[in-house]
Amino acid sequence: MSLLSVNFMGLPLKNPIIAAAGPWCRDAAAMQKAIDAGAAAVVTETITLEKSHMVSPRVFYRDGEVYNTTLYSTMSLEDVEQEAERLKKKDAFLICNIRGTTPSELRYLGNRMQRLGADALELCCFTPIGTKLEDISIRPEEVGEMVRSVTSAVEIPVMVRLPHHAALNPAFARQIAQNGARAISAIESLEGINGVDIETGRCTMAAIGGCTGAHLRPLSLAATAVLHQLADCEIAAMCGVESWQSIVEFLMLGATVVQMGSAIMLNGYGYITETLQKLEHWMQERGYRDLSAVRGKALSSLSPFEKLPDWLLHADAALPCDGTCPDGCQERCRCACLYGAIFCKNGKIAVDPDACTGCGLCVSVCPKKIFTIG
Amino acid sequence: MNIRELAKEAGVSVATISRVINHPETVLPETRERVQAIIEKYQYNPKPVTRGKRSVAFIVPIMAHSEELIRGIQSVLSPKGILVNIIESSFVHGGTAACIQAAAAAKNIGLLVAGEPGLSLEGMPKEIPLVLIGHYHQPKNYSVCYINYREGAEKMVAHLTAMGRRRIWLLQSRSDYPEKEQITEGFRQAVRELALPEAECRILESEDSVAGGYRTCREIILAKKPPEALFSVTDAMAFGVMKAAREENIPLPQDLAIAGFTGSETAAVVEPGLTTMEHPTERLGAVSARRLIELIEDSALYQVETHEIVLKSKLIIRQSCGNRKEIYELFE
Repeated sequence: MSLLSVNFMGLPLKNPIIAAAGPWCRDAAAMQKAIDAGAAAVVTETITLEKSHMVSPRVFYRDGEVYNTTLYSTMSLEDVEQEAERLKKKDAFLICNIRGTTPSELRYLGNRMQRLGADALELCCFTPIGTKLEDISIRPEEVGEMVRSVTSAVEIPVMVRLPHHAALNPAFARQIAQNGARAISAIESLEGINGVDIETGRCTMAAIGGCTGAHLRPLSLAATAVLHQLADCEIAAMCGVESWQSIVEFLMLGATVVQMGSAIMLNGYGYITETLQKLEHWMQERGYRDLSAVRGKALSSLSPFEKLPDWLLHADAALPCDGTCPDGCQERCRCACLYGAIFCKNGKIAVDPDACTGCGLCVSVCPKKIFTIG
Repeated sequence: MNIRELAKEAGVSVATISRVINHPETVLPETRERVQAIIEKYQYNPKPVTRGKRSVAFIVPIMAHSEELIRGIQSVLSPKGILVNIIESSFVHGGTAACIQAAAAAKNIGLLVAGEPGLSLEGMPKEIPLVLIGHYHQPKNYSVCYINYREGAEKMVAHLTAMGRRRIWLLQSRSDYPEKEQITEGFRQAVRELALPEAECRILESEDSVAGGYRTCREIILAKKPPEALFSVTDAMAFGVMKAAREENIPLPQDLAIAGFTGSETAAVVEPGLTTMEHPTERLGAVSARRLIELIEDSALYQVETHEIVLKSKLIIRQSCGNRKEIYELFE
């Protein structure tokens, strides 16, 4: 039993990093790289009955944000099966990501994938891009029917990938768990357009893409915490899974494993190895014996708004400041204070305790960190 | 001994047997050894479809309407080196049933049978793997793959209703084509479910052509209460209606919304762009052929897996029904 090993959907994973479905797992060679780099499991690029075609350009990047207009695998089902034959799984697991428009289509694909030796399935009932499979599963009951149709036909564990809006909806989580899925992976990339060129009046991408990246992590962190409350199944957190620290964050909010995607695309497969080493080192240093001690640790510090104590605190300028911010701006704290509690007197920033309502914004807005709240 | 009996003997599932054969490393060593011992004992040898001069028969009423279906079938069978014999049943005395008998007697390793919803498989050869393509009143113990046209028709009526039309007519083809009943049923169902005025939602029949649609449009114009929307089961007839409407100065789509159903390429070119349906026909061909290969390789799958694979069609929204949103076009 190693420090990082974890049981996920009944599969004994050697660590909590799964390479997510995407072009970095498009064929056997690509998946092999992820496995060789140490991923505990790999998820195939989305498999359908009808292969997709390539468009160019299809992946866009800007300041850590990735936009991907790839729909699903451009390989035929038969090609995918041949690729799977070539894969040397060693001690890793193969998860097949499948997508279909109807319960029977999904069940057929599920059966096929089980026969080729998949260790688990990931169902795609939603899609961020393209309308080829149009009005697929909008209602929770339809998703439930799709899940049931697969789980009743295969023996391998099944997880369901959810977009943000569905992950926060109790009805979806309930349907998925009730119909035999062992885990939920969330959140799916979000529908994004990276901008409009205002001079030409044209979008800077030709189609809406699936947007991922560290900037979306607040959404996926919240979704993880919410799902942990809603769903009676395990969670594979995804979207914004990047540094080893972010992995710890997801685990502390209740995720069992994480799925890494665009971080592999941007940093290379070796990033998996590096992240695992750092994660293990941190665990050792902090004296954690295994991941179960980390999992869900932060949840108890999170309460619903209704349960927050209603006492009032007050801010105080604990360090001297003349109102000049390091970037040359003037009195950012004073501008940001909606209550007019911050002022500059005799060249010194101060807080009026009678006007301060203890909102706390100045504490995080100040680049010099001069404020305290208490 | 087949895979199912083997599974029973070994006390495991069919899937586990398959995994022991194809991916032994994924099975617990203890289970694997037990299964391997039983496989050896009964000398079980699954028959993979190997390359070679093998052929499958595809039986279809008229080949001309099945280009996409054939492309899908070929996309799966060609790489395996399997030839496809195409038999047009409407030219054979005795129809589909006679073709099945003949194709089974010739050395085909499997049959794909399309068309003829009323087909009876009573007395058909049982020893040859067979997959039915199209919506049948599901005969027991046969694998069936079809597109849900009924649901497609319902979706089209729902779209017309969402565009503010309530007096909707269905323009059917006069000829008997396999999906006819399903589309009519879907239309009627949607009219009931959306609480449209049933008496004012008529069904017309016309010759399936541009000229047929053109002639039928006269009748529409002369009706006491002309329809607000016309749902044509083929794009060709819809084009005919559009031509006549233009000649009669009926503004489209303001006074008459028109929808097709066959997803033709031309539908994108006409003005206003024709709202129609895209059917996954190629995917249907591919999945039917895949199913057939599976049955040839292991007939036990008849019992353990689903008998029915249903595919869904997609609505292509253009402007002919009153839609003005760019985004639908953008997303196509």
